Parts: sequence; structure tokens; C-alpha cells
Amino acid sequence: MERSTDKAVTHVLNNHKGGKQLQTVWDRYEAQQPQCGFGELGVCCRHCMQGPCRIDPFGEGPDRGICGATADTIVARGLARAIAGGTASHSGHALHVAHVFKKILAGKAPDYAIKDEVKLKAVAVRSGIDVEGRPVIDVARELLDKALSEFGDKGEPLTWAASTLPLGRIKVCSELGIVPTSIDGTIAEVMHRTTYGVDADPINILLGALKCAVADYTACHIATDLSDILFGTPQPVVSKANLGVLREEAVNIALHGHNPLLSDIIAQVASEPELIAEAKIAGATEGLNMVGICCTGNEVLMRHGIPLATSSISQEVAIMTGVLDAMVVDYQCIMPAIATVAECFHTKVITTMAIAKMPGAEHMAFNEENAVECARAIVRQGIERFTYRNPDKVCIPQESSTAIAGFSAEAIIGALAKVNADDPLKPLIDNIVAGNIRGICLFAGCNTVKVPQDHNYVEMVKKLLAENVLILATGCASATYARHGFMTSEATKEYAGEGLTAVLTAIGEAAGLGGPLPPVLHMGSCVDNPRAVDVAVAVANKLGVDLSQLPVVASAPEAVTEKAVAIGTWAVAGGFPTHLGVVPPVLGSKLVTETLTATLKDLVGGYFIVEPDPAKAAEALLAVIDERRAGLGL
Amino acid sequence: MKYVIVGGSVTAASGQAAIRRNRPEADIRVVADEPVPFYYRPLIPYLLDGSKTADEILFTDQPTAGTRAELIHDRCVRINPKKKVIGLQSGKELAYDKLLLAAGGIPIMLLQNMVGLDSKGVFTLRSLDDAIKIREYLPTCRTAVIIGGGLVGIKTAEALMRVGLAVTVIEQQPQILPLRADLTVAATIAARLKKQNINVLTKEAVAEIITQKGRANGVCLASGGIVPADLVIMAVGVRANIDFLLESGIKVDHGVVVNNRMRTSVPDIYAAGDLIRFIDQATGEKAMSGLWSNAVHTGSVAGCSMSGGRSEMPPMLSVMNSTEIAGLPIISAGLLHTQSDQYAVYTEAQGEKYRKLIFDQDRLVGMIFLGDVSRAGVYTNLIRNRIPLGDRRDTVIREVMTKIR
Amino acid sequence: MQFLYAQTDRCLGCRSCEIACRIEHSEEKNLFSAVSQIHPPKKRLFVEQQGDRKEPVLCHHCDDSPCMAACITGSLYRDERGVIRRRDERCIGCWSCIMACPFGVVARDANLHLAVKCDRCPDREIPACVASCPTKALRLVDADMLSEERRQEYMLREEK
Repeated sequence: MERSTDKAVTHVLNNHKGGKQLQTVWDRYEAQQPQCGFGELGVCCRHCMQGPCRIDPFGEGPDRGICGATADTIVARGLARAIAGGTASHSGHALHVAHVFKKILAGKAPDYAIKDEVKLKAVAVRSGIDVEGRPVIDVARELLDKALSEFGDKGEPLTWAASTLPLGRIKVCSELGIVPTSIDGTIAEVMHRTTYGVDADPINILLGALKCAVADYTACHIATDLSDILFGTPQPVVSKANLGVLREEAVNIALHGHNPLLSDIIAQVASEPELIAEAKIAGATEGLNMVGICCTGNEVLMRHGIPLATSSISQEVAIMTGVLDAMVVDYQCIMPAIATVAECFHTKVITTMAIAKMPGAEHMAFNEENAVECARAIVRQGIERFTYRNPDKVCIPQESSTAIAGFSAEAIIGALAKVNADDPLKPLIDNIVAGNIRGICLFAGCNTVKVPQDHNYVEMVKKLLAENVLILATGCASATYARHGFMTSEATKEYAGEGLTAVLTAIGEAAGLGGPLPPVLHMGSCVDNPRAVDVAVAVANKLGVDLSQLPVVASAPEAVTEKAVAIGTWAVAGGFPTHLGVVPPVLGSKLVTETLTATLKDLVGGYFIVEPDPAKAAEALLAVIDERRAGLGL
Repeated sequence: MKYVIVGGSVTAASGQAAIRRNRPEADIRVVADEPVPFYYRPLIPYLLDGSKTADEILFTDQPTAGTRAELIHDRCVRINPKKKVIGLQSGKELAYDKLLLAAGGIPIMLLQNMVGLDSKGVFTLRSLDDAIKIREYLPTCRTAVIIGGGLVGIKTAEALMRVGLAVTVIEQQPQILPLRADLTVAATIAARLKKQNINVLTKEAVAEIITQKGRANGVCLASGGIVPADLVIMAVGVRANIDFLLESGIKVDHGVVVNNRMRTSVPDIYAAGDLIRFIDQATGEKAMSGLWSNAVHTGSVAGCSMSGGRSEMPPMLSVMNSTEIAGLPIISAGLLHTQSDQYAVYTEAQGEKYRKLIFDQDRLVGMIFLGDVSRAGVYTNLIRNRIPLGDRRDTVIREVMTKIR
Repeated sequence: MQFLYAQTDRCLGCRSCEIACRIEHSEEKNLFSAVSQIHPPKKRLFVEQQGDRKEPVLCHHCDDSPCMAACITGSLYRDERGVIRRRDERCIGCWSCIMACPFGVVARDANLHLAVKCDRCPDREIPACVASCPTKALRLVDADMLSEERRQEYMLREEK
């Protein structure tokens, strides 16, 4: 099978100088073939030490586990735990930002500041906090307390869910009992109800999982909001994406992971003349070149215009260019394999977070109390490693695309306001009604080794754009479209249908871009998916309808992580039909499969569409969009 | 070296193949009396309803298709061991250096003097020829009686039922399949057959065949009743085809007596298949059998021995059958009916499904699997090879009894 | 002559071979459609446990082939690879092969009314079970190669 459709990645895979022994994610995937069918179907259970138990999916062997759990129960429990895993990741991410926020307010993190007071006030108002005439610091304290209380035993519906979703949605969720009252409490509840001998009712377990997914949405939203307050709300920025951004004559340092807490500081210190001078003394005539990978890459791309080297699946490939001097990682989606790949090169892999260390990497503990010092020390490590670079091992591909990123909800509304300052949403709604925008699709999620990298994304987006569907993207989806040149004005001319081109051109001209808006709007990292919800909610509220009526769909065509499962599930709970291009491990239970792909439509409006074929998936999403348009009388 | 094989069935074929393996260039003559020999005899009932055609039951590899093998359409009527020749019905003689007797069995005609036995519409079903004749006669028939509730009788009844005849099976014993099943299994199968509208009468005998203008049109039961029958099929069993050996001096005791390399009491004459007598591994008693796999194995051993190879008769059972009747698979082997305290009997039933194991001390000596026949071969082999199980006996019982699916 | 060899000390009892076998013998040869077939495909090997030992029990394509000797229809035959196969059109579902196989590795497909046994994946170079085995407990080996391997193992043991 073809490994990647990204020419830069393919070039390095085929021409790298790391030696024949070097293995990448694609080699390891091959070595894992064939993968365990029980696992693929979700019918193995290791929740107790009487197990492991497996259900025979062909109905000849055991039809229940030792405790009596059926395939339905086991599959539902497994899915729920995956969602809890994803939610825990986003909870940890959000809580980390909140803790730093707390240190800032306590004066213990002098290198950080509240950068975006407008956002602070907006979030505070939305959260029911009185801001009139109060000092910023007071508002910030109250908001932070409110945020922190979301993680503990709040005892009432979570603010970041209740205040950001339409009333209709909250009613639907309340009736199903899936409104969480604690983020971490809900994660714990899923772990509890799925442990030995607790919840055996598959539907009840799935409802618990949906509740956990709503908690995940809440955590993501808090993370996005607090990050914007501390580091600024993203605004459109022009940069570049793909491995061609690595430079032979510069110290290349990759920022990889998910959280802006460290990466934003490194991005700041990288422009310090002193450090640039040190790089030059070390022999790097072009100084320092910070690049991003994965969602940390998206964070620093949006806020600092730092170019994006590559996406998560191809993280090893960045090292294989032979010019990456350091890879600095925080957490999530960091393959333990990078330390092994780095052994074939001079690259130093630097872990920074106490909960995310790696054999073979150097750990440089990151302290928020002296963040800038930590950041400088890390950059210096990169400069030092530059001197060990082996010119014979250099393999930099040419490819890099221009990418306009940074379309936060605020940035999108801002651009629309240039068309109609009094009623910014009107141009958007008018064009949806007129059919120039047939619908909106949010692409999210990862790259998977199970399909050629980016293949599903690119095939789907070409089809949807031609059919005038406006595309929003986050996480590795946004990185994919950035690398493939879909985040440019030219892409609108090349791929968008007539109606969509007209709309994007009008907005782009009004916003002073001198051309159309890109047809795929980079809304941020994967934790930023609520930004897309915010736009949809604004439209729904304006129209007086629920999210489940909007011609808005979501797709994770190359999903990998538990986080993606959690996000996909809250997208469904939010009323969005959500496509998965990779079959999740649930097919061992007809009941769970049926519930996820059909029954949920009646319950919450959203549901999963599982379709590995990108052409068929695009057709399916178009059909859903048209069904919803018809429902609105359009 | 001239090899002569008497017989045109599987025993002859596997004997011939074994000779051919040892002596690729051997001169082999096969004397077969059927117009078309070498077909899968157990499939004959399937010819009646057309579910198989004659072509479809022929051996896929015709044994005489190889080099230097000659098929002679004739019947062996006597053997002269002194002159080393056999006499044929055509009057010809055929010389041999080594002779294999593989003439199989012939159907028993019950009560040779039964009234009506020679009327039109009365058949046996042993050969392809029989089947063709019955099939030709079928268009004039609406009712049929099968005399004998053994395996051939039941399979024939099912085939005739499928072509739309009203069929009655008449069995003298208290149960059908007396050699293949116990009372429980026989009753379950009989009930299934009755559901398919096959009338099953047990503990009943036919007193005479009623005829009209020389054609059968019913049977009169010993108990007095009358069963209409345009077609009467005698399926009461088979006996060894040994009449032609009378003057040969070959030792016969119900069947031909052979040593463990399949040689008869007369030098250079070997015998295999349905006509031999052997010791049943389950009962330890002298036995005969019409079992397909016994024919294959003994034919092969005989052929090997005749052509200079070393091979010994495998352990044999007279009962080891597998079939499916009325949608129910059944496999039985060894001892099926026990009265003696010597044996320990274990049974387990689940609806129609049923399993029975019979042990003599720590050896399995009999088994019946009905409905779920999975892994049956593991247990038939324990019986056939007289494996002492020791403390594994309980494991075997548990395996068999708890895994009915 | 090649045959399937199970190195039992490597078998973890994961049953991947059983699943791979069913998939290979399913309509579309893919897991997700195989589990949704109305009549699920049958497996032709069986992972069993005896005490601590786990082991795939599989067809040996025996030289003296009791299954072939018992076949009353001419359905079972030995192909050019030495593999005992089934001619579908000949099989009548009499289960004589099940009765004869001492390893218990012929199964009954009641839906198709066919006896089901290992055909060593005629469409594949490496049988699906072998390809699926994550620990390489199942291998397709050459008879000569295996005895050579055994000799070497023995020698190494002696040296220790």
C-alpha cells in the first residue's frame, strides 16, 4: 500500500539517509499485520483478572465473558472507556492551562500574562460573570474559579456546556440524562460503571459514554478559551506548511505535541537576538528556524505564524530529513518511536512534561515559574545539536505550501463583519439559504497509517468543495489541508464550486485579503473543535433552530486516537452527523453498531456514518446536508 | 507376474492402486460383472430421485485407466488354486500369479419363497443397474414399501419420498437402524421421518406381496394389515459373495478367513472388503462388515501384501457409520446396545441432539452422536484403537457431554 | 512437500488463526463483512488448550488420510500440493470424513450442507492462518527444512 500522498513525506521515506534498519510507523504497521480480529471488533475484555475474555463473533464459541457480559456489554464498555481516555486527555490539557492561569494570577508565573482581555471579558460574560467596572484581575479570578470548579464536584450542569450550546440542545441532553456536572467526575464515573460488575446495560453504558463526551466538549472549550486569554485569540496569518520549511542553514527546532504553554514561550524566545546570534556562531547562517508538528504546531502557527513541518503520523519523517536539530515535545500523539528514529541521526528528542517521558529522549523539565529560562535552555540544546549535524544525511524535500491559518470563531465573525458590520452572520446565513453555501463540513481528527496519509481527506474535500460545501478544519485535518495547499485563495479558485467561490471572494475582498478566503478554514488544533461549534451555535441561535437541524456535518476520515473518539461522540451528541473513515472497534456488537449509526439519530439528531471509501463518504455527507436543507425548507 | 482382481468396487480399486504403487508396470486384470463398475455404491439411493446422475457417482479416478490394467466384463464362477486359474461365466479361464478376491456382498432376498417375490415392481437396491431399473419403473408408481429399516432402506425411503411417493418402511426389529442406533436415537429419527410423511412400521414383517396382473400393488403384513405398494424394495441386508469359492479350498467362516496381511488359507490368494471375516475391535468377536472405509483399507493392505510390500490390517469395527437422515446427522461406532453390567453408559440429550458413550473399564467401546457430530472421529479412533484412557476417561466424558452444540 | 507446523510453545491462544481462516473462507474475504454474513464462514482449525499448553489443532493432510478413505462420494481428493481438498459438487454431507478424522478437524457446515476442512488456502501462497499468527507459532515448512532445524536445535542443546 502507498504510505502517504504527501509528496514531501514520500520523498523522505524513499530517500532518507537513516539506513535500512530505520523503521517508521508504516513498517511497524506492516509488522503488526494481521491485527487481532477480536480487538478490531471490540469483543475482547480485560477489565478483570479472570479474563481476558473474548466473544466469538461468529457465534460458535463463547457468547459471553466469564462474568456473563455479552458482546454488546463488552463493546459498549470498551467504547465508553475510549471516550473516557480521550476526555481525560482534554481534561488534563485544559486543567494544565488553568493551573498556569492560577499561577499567573498568584504572580508565580511572571513570563505569562493575560494577553486577550477582550476574550476574557467575552468568556466571563457568557459564563454569567459580572464584568462591568471590575478590574481585569478580579474578572479573571472569578472566571478561573469557575473554570476550575468544572473539573471537580460542581453538582450542577457544567457552565462551559450550558452557556455555549443552544437551549434546544441542552433540553435534548437533559432529557437523556447526559448533561455532566463534573469533567473529571464523569471520567471517573465511566471508569466506575465499566469496571467489573457494575453497568451491564449496553444502552445505559452508551448514554454514560455520551455524557462523558459532553464533558470532553466542555474540557476542550475551556482549554481553547483559556489559551486564547493567555496567548491571544488567533487571527488570520499567512505562513507555510510541509517539510520544505526546514532549512539547511538554520537550527531547526520542532515543537510537537498539543499544548501552547511551553511552545508559545519557545516561539517568543526564538526571536531573541541573543539566541539567534548563538545559532549563527554555531554555524547556522540563517539563525533559528522554529517549526511545528501536530497540534502544538497548529497552536504556534495560528498565533505566531510559525511554519508547520508535518502532521502527527509523519512525525518521524521530520527527523529523517537529517536537519532537525531538536524535537521538543509536550504530550499526546507523540510516538515513542521518535527516540529510536533519532538514534539514526543527530536529532535530540527533548521531553518536557512530567507525565510524558520517553526512553532514549532527554528530559528537560518545564517549569511555568521560569518558563522563559526553560525555553531558552531548550533552544540552546537545539543549537548545540546543530553542530553534530551530518551533511551526508540531509534530505530536505522541496515541498511546502502557503497556508492561511488562524480562523478562530472570532476571526470568522470578524471577516463577516467586514461585509455586514451590523449583522455579521447575515451574509453567511443568506448564502446558506441561497445555496451558495450548500452546507458546512468540519474535518477533524488525525492521520492514520491504515490509509495512505491524507488520501481520505483530500479526496473528500475536493468533492465537497466542488459541491459548494464550506470546509472548516482542525487538528491534523487542518495540517493536512495546509500541507496540500487548500488554505490559499488559489485553492478557492481551483476547487470551490461557483456559489462558494463567489461567497469566499466577497468576504475575502471585504476583509482586505485581496482575494477570496481559503475554501478550507484553519480553525485551530484538535482541542479547538469547539470553535467550530461556536460558529454553528451562533447560526442556529440566529435562525432559532437546534444544531441538529443545521446542514452542518463533521468528518474524521483518518481518525486514530481516543480523543478523536471522544470528539466524534460529542459532535454526534451535539446533533451533527459525523463520518468516520476508519472502522471503530464496535462491529462485534450489532446493538452498539445499530445504536451509533441509527438509533442515535432519533435520540440526539447526530449519528455516526462509517464509510472507509472517501468518494462514498462525501456522497453520504452531501445527502445528509441536503436532507437537513430540506428539513429547513431550503 | 499376473495379478487378477475379482470385483468391481472400491476394494478392487484400492487393491489395484496399492499394487500399482509397488509395481508400476504390473500386469493387472480386473474381473467385474457389473456393466458399469467402479462407482460410489453408497450413493445409489441418490439416483432414484435424480439428485445424482450415474455419471456423477462414478469414481473420479477410474482404476483401470492406467497402463497395463485390463478390465474384463465377466463373472468369476470358480477358482482352481492348483492350476492357478479362475473360471469365468463366459467359459473362459484366466491364469493368475496372485489373486485378490474383492467380490463384495450380495443382497439377501428375504424368504426366498415369499408369495409375489418375483412379480413386477419388486426390487433389491445394491447396484447401479438396480437403481436404473427402479428409476425406469417409478413413473408407474404412487406408493412404495421398503422392507428393512436399515441405512439403505431409510435412504431409499427418503429418495422415494422426494419424488412424491407415499412411502412405508417396514422393520422387523423394535426399532429402525438396529445396527446403527440405539432405541432413543432410532425413535428420534423415526419421528423426523414421520414428519416428512414417511410411514415407519417397526416390529412388523411382510407376509406376502400382493399382486395384480403380475405387478406388485401392496404388501400383506404378518399382523394382518395391508399396505399399498406399487413398488417394493427389499433392503434387508447383504451377505458375503462367497458362493463361487465352494470348491476352491479357501477357508470360509461366514466370510473369508484371512490373516493380518489379508491372505486367505490358500497361497497367493488374498481377500478384502465385504467378503472377509475379521475380529471386531469393540466386541472382540468375529464380524463382517459392509463399511466403505474397511473396504478401502483392507483392499489397500491386500494389494500391498500381494505386490511385495509390508502392510497390516488396521484395527477394524463392524459398526462405524455416518450419515444424515431427515436433516439430522448421526455418527455411531462400536458397541451400541448393551445389557451387561460390564459396561458403563453415559448419555446426554439436548432437544433432539444426543450423545452416548459406552465404556468397558477405561476403554471407549461404543458411541452415538446425533445432531451434533463434531469431533466424532477423535472418539471413533479411541474405539478402533482400543486406547486405554486411564484417568483421561473423565476428561473424555466431560468433553463429549458438555460440548453439544 | 510443505506442511503446516505448529510450534506449540509459541502459541498464545489468541485465535487469530481461527479468525483469519474464517475470513479467508468468507464471501468477501474481509472481517467486517464476514461477521455480518447470514451464514458465518466456518473455521478449519481449532485452538485448544491441554493443561498449560495452547495449540492450534489442524489438518495434517495425512498420508493414510482416513477422511479420504471414508469419503463415499469422491468429494475428497489430494491436489497437486498434497493437500486434501473437497469437490463441492460431490459432497452430500454424509459426514463420513468427520467420523474418520482422528484429529477432529473436519467440521460440518449445516447451512451449506458441506463438510469443511483445511484446504490450505489455494488462493494464497502462505495460508491465512500462518500469515495471521502473531508469534509465528504456525508455519508453513518444508519437511527437510524442519528436520534440519530440529537437528540443529538438538545439537545446541547438547552443547549446553
